[in-house]
Amino acid sequence: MVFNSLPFVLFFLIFFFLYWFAFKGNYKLQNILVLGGSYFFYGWWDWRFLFLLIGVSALNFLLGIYIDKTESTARKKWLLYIGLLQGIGGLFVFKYFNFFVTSFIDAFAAINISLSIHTIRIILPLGISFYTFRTISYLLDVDRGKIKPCTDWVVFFSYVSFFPSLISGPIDRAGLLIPQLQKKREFDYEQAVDGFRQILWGLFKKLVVADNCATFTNEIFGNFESLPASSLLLGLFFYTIQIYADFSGYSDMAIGFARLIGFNITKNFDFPFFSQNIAEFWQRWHISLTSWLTDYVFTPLSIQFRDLGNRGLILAIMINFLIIGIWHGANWTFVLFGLLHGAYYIPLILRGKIFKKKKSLKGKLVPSFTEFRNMVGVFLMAMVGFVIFRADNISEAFGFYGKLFSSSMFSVPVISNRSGAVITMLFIIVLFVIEWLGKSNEYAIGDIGTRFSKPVRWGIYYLLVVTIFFFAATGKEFIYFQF
Amino acid sequence: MKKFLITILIFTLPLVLFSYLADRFLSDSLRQSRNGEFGVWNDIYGGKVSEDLLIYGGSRAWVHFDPQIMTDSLGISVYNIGLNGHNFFLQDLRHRLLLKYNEKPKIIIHAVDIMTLGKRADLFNLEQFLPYMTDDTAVANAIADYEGYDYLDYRLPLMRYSGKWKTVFSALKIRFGSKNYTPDRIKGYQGKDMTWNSDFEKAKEEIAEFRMDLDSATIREFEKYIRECREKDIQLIFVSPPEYIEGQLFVENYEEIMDVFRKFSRDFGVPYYDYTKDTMSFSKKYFYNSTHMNKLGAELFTRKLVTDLKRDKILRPI
Repeated sequence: MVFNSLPFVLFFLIFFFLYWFAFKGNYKLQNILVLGGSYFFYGWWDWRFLFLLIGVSALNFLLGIYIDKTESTARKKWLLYIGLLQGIGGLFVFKYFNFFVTSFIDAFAAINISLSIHTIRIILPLGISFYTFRTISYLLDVDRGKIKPCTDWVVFFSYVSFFPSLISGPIDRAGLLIPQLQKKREFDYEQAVDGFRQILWGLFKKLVVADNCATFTNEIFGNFESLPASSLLLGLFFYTIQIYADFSGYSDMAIGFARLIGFNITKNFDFPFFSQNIAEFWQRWHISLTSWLTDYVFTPLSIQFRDLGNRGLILAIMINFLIIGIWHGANWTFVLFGLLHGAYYIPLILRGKIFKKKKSLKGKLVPSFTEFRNMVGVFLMAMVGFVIFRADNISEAFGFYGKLFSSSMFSVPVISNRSGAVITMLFIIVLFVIEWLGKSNEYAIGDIGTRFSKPVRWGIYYLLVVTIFFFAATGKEFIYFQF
Repeated sequence: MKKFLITILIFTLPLVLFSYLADRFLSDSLRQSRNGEFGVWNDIYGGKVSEDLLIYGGSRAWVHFDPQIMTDSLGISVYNIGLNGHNFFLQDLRHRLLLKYNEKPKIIIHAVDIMTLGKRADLFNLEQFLPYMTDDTAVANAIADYEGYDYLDYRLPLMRYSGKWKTVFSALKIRFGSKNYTPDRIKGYQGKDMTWNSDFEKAKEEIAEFRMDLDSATIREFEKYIRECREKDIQLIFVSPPEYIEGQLFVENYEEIMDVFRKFSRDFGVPYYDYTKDTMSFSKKYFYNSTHMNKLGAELFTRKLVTDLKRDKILRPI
């Protein structure tokens, strides 16, 4: 049940009316509805994994309470380790088991030792990477005393399975979402309208920009060996836009639906392609993941390695990005993707610029030449990285690079649907112009409500609706569902 | 909350109105098209297909039989209603609509090939049904089982146009553009001025051999259609146009399928002209892929066919 599907629309309509009419004023009943709705939403995909979700929620709920109750530091640690073992172990079994087994077999095969270890057929439970990170951060925060454990199981279970962000994030922290679940929620007209607006913007990004780009990226990446470099460059450009518009579009919708039921959840993207360097890019891209890793991996590691100076910082960054890479999936391509982005940081660290705050471009209508050059540079670095991200294996990625950096770069791109490519390019320009003009807002069109009169505002909404309706390229799943 | 719901309602009303009006506008515009499959459907619905001899079939009817050459040589009017990409199931829909809105033809030349009696799962070129599928239950029922349109596409106005911006642009062009254009299909035929492309080589790379499954329901319908033609006194002739020989060998059960047509021909006394082993089938220069002839090949083939038809005096006098 994806956001842009009829079953979800029907589900949400029923949910919305029950939530604000039948259970109005009673947040405990609303929480039960959130939990039931979330389980229905999740079970629609595969009800069997619902038991895993419930089991994970129950275990972490109890661990949180006992970690707080226990006086003994050693016992606290043990309880925390059980939680971490469950979280990381779950990811290992469902996501990485076969990857490690095959890598192990390949490594031994390289030294002529044949091992017969069998892989097992495992279906990856949808959203496991996202809800596991929620439960891990919850336990760590309880252990560190940053938050009090949640004693209301309905609230906690709802936090873990909160349907707007269950499948593809954002990865909400307990400190943000649980307090909202524990208090009365009043319907707020402005918040609901803003939620609707953000959903509309998310739909535009996903259906019009990302899905139209996907048509070309699938064609070009699928046949890259027989295409000239210019086509590959175009395909890579489309893919870079696709992955951004797809994931940020999904996040916009998730945030919008949450706002419609009175919740504010984590912002996940902050116009990353307007960044001035790669460090800023990662502060603005998939924010809920990168901030999670900064808090629970990078910061503790950099403290641990502080005596090593820049080398320690580089080590911490590389480990951090290795985890970012492998979080995306069990493939050496993701490992390499992470390491490449980690390596992008090295010049910044050596020049002492990693923590240097960049002058904000927010509110600036025209960037300076240097700012523009920096933005292009960041975009190109992201593009280069996405080759590995998109490839099925390392050799395919290098095959793509080999073909990309060749003399056919200057030929006319070969593409089957030229008019489609032109239209897609036009929408990319529209996306970037609107994002640039709206970069001071929470999301690009966030200020429409205050900036324009009602007729203009509604005119924009109607234009968006009609554009989405006629130009949507349907039938493509959200990229981040696979993670 | 009340304010929110009222706002949503007020916001939605113009969209509902727009969807009705836009649906009518787009469908009416497409019903004026003279291009592609729309052109043929519109001729059928408009009762403009009153020719003596009609060419039936799939894409191998569409690009292989030149009605002009046939008319010049045979002295009778000819129209090619070949339906690109579809098996007999939807060819039969076209046949039934033709009989409903037009005078029945005297003669049908049915281009038969290995695809005729199969049934594809997807609704190829699904845009062609847009202007008719909500108004004509025969169309809706025929295409309902294919993967293409959803439940709401048949029931809500404009819904089926979602994502079809190219068709919308075509509709706008038809409505506001010049009316003096030459249709791409002349009397339903479209000669392809093309040389051999890589379609066949790509197919061979993807699969070693191809097997075409026959659809038993389609075979029954085909038999019913032959009987109906006989009852309605429509002379039916089967023709299998040339097909590049390597393409024939690529299909594992090629001869088995063609035997079905040979049997139908024998059982029902339908004349059958099979050009699949003609010398043309051995030369790439007449084809743009293994199953479709280019304009050069199509014209030569049409001439050969009319010569053979005349030689055998097979056509009944009109």
